Amino acid sequence: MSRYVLYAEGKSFFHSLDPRSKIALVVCVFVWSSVFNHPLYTGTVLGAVLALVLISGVASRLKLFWFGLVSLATMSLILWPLFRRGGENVLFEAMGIVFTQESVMYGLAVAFRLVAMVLSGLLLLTTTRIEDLELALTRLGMPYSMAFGISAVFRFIPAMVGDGLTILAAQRARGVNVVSGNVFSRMKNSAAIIVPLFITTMRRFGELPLAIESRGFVPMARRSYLLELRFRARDVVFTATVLFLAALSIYMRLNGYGVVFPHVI
Amino acid sequence: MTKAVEVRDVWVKYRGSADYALKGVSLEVSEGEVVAIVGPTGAGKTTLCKVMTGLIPNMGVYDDFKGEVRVYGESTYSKRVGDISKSCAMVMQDYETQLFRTTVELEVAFGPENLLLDREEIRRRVQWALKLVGLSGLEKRYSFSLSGGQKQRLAIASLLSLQPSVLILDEATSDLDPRGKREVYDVMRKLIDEEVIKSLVFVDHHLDKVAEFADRLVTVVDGRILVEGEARDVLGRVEELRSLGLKPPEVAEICWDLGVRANSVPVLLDEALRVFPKVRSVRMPERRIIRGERVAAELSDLWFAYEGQNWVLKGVNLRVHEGEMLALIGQNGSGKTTLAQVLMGILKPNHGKVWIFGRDATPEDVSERARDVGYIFQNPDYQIFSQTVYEELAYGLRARGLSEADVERKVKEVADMTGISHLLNEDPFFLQKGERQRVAVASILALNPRIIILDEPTTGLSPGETRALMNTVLNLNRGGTTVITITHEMWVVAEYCTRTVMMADGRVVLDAPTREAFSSRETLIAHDIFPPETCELSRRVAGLTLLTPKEFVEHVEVV
Repeated sequence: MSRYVLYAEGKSFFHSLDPRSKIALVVCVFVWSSVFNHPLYTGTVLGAVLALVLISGVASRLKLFWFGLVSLATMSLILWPLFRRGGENVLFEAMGIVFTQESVMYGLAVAFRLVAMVLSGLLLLTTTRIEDLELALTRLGMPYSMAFGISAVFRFIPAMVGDGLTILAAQRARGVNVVSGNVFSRMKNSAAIIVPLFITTMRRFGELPLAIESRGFVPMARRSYLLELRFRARDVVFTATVLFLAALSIYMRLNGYGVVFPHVI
Repeated sequence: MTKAVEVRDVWVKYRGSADYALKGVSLEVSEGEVVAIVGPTGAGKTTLCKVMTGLIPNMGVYDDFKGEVRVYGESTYSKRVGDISKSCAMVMQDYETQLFRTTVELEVAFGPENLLLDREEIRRRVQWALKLVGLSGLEKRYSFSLSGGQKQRLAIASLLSLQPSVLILDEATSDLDPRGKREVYDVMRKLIDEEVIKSLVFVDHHLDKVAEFADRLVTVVDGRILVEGEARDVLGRVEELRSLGLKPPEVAEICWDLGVRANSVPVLLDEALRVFPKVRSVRMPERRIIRGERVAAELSDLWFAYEGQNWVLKGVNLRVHEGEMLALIGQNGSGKTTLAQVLMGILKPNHGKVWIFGRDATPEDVSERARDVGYIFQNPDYQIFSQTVYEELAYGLRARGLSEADVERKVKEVADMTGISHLLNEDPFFLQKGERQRVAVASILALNPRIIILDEPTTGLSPGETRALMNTVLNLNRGGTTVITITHEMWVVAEYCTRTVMMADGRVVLDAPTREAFSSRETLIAHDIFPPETCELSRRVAGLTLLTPKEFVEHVEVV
């Protein structure tokens, strides 16, 4: 099961930061990668995030995600040049559609942007214990029930994956074939996985509120916390730096830096 | 005596259901009492527990709720469950849903956090609660990495940290392996003896355990309390318990049938041994026919690891003959399910071969092996996905390409066999667990497997439902089907299986005819497996191992 848990204890600089600092970073990554649409700029942001992933030693925990991230980037690379029209430097023409250098660069920029955003979120989740994140969110003003809900989802993902694998085995054992056949039979057969998974998950989550309130939990009531968050000097420096860089990026964009198409995000 | 919980004439009707789940139930629990609630599945035991902790009617939606419930004199009506649980808390059957933090320490801290205690007090309570359930030292462990027994003990600790006066355990041991069950019972014993809590209410199908723990016993049948009284009196009313589909303590069954009495019918082994009369004669039980000549399945030098060198199976050899009814026992994590899944072809072995009816099936995948082998999973919800029972049974047959007429004939046949003919047009989602389990079984039997693997098929079923299911399987077995049952219920093994294979740490550590296996008491107990009490009673009074109360009564004659 540990394969499906993102967080692992670590001693890196990023691990040691207060979760609020890490949330600040994620927000800033969203800002940086959204204000620019030039691949060199969004690529720099992605590069920075990747570097943090490597330095923090969590790359191996993201094994399950690389394929998805690459697919996400590829989709963007293919689709954006089709929809983001304009630009002057024609690269080639296929089936009546003109591909310009600008539209391809834009596609690349958005690909970097999306991957940077998702990866920063994953970086947060792999370096932060879910209860610390929950506490940080409440400290930042989110109602506890909502913060708890978010943490519960991540807490139960491993259980769901486990259920899913067992269901797959159970259905294959009775002759359900989900990996071959034509599209229609495959769709019909995938119901054999999805329906039981849905029902199992519903039964699981259905009891969850009972279990929570049975532990003395009263919605919207004040509560104390065993965990402590410490916003230390390094957090002040780190957060101030990323916030400054975010402000700077907006200033740069307003002055025309880092864009392929100036009038779109 | 202070009244802890009072339930007065409570009626509960769940939203959308046809009938009331509780029909005028009244029950009092005083301080210092241990009360057991027993009854068939679906009788309303869990509903009653939820009523006592205020989960009903304060959470969820109900078409009707009548009556009054007081916890320490205060009505639970429109009180917060979170407030009630400070004095009366409930452990549920499914330990997975009750644990929602990542580490042991944070799980136990959740309750005290809600009580707005300061950090030092929270820490103190966490230590205290973990010590009580024997999990000290595991504070930083991830709860998913714990065994089932540890998880359920953690669930108990996370309620104890609220320091409730009344603790309710709703089938807290049902989903556990024998070791896990023992661990939870040990915790129960400790909580009672050290008076950590004032009263304990527990629901359990194991009446021998009820005999060990309970002062008072309540049977719930069809939403009503049918019998209520001192535990040992009620447990001695063997006929009555049997007629309710319950399984009386084996000692009580034997004493009842042989007319052995002290002041009342003995219900515990020690009591029975004290008063048991001299044995006049013992007939040797017949050696049960064990197997046919052909080998149905053979596993040779099987090694398997999910990752790296973490061997889950360490060179297992096993030969199963056609027509055998074999029990695969052992704690969770010993490799039973892995072994069965390798046999089914769901998992590929790293080394070793799988032979099915003489052919090397090692390279075959699941769908090919499914022609000979059927696999019934523990949780029927993992398999059921159709909108009617009929469709569910027909699915595999259609996938095999049978004509609609053949499909219909086969569905009818297998529905008859499993006793679900009246349910064919029902939506399986709304059936009871026992019925859903039968649907899952039927959908596999429809495919006519020559070997059936049942993976803990009776978990969560009442003894009555368990017998009904196992009798179906036994009938198939008599027709020549080879059966491999993974189970934690030793009385099921004793009653139904002719051969017992015990696994531990990826190896087969005991493989013998069941009578012989259950005579190896030391070996079994060393692995935390406890043979039925009949075995011990017969060994002590008659000098041989008899497996079931029925067998005991038929073969032992007393003065």
